[in-house]
Amino acid sequence: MDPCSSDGDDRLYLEELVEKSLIHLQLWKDVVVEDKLVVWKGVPVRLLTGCPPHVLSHDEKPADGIGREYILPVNMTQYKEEQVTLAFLDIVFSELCAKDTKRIILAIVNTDGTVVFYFVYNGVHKPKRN
Amino acid sequence: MVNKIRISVVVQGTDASDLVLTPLIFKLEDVERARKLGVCGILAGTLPTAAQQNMFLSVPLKLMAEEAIWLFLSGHAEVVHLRSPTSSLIGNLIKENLESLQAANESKLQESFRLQRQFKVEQHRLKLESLGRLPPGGELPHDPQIDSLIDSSLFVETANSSSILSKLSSKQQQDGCIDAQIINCMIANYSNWDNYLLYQSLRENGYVLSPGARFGGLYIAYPGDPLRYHSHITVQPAIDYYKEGIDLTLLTSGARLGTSVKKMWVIGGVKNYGTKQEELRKPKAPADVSFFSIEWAGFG
Repeated sequence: MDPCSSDGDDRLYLEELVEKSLIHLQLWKDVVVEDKLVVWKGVPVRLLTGCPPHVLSHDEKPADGIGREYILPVNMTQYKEEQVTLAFLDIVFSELCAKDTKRIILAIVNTDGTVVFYFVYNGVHKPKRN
Repeated sequence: MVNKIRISVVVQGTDASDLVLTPLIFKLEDVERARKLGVCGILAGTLPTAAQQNMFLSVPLKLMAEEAIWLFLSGHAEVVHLRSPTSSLIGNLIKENLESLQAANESKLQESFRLQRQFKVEQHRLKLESLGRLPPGGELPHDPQIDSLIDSSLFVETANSSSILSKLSSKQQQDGCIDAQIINCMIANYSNWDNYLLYQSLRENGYVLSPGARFGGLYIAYPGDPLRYHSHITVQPAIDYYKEGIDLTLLTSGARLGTSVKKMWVIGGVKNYGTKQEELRKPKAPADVSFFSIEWAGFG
């Protein structure tokens, strides 16, 4: 990853890396980069959506089956202005997700190319039952 | 009218900048009432019947600053400054109030003389009545010799620190402004107001909060009484809603810890503060606090 590349390119790099990781490593289906975008501190931010290979948490009603999840790629290193503030998360939930979306998945890309995934719930939520 | 819960605040330190304030509750009934209101606190006193262990402790109940502030602002408690004789603040308070204390002392002494004289004159009158020298209910003749004898037998209480401190404490409590002073001090010295607003917001949603250092956070939150439920949330210190980014290294380490202790890693910030508080009363518009709960997704 070239830290000198423009921020737009950096977002493309993140989206591409997370997409590949989900499809080939985590075996997700129907992974696409969403068209809706929001400009945050001069950088265009888009979400990915996809279907995990199995149910991720048992809180979800079984009738829905495996639902589509929203994924937000971010950089682990913070020498860029792109910061995950609470205001940013609120904008992602309200502008980029469907109404009443309870959670998104934060895909944190490390400098070695690995990605770690965390659920981000809007508001206070109970931990998932194991 | 039900008495308020009494919170005693121990003030340590001499400078305004290095004060340590510890809110304590000493009365057992108040400890019970606080728990029913969702303030659990931590028992910190030695159990007299088993002094050489510290698994089972007794009163006083030590409160978090946020708990003391919440109890005060919701009108359930009054705050009292616990006198520690070695505190130099006492010395300053006595110096400041020297004249009024001397005047109060003097008037108290004169009042004591008046009451003693009244008592002794009445005793003398009853003695004369019983000896038959005075008809029952009769008036005592004015006798300067008797008066001077009575005066010389009056008991003079010299001013001592116990009586001064008790006068000082009753005077301070009458003033009523000491509550607000201590609360202001507690807020300034302990945690920032954002952390208190996080506490208040979670309390409004029915959670009971305890100190969270054991689980790597500011508070841990139970959905009810700690004896009935497990906590499932570790709350992090408040961050600026608009300007501060979440530290992703802290996020990953906190969420990993959360997985092993079965808790969500919760971060919050104040979106808007509501109407400004001129005095320490409930704000007219409630503050708006935004929370996000984070946990490991279980894959990757």
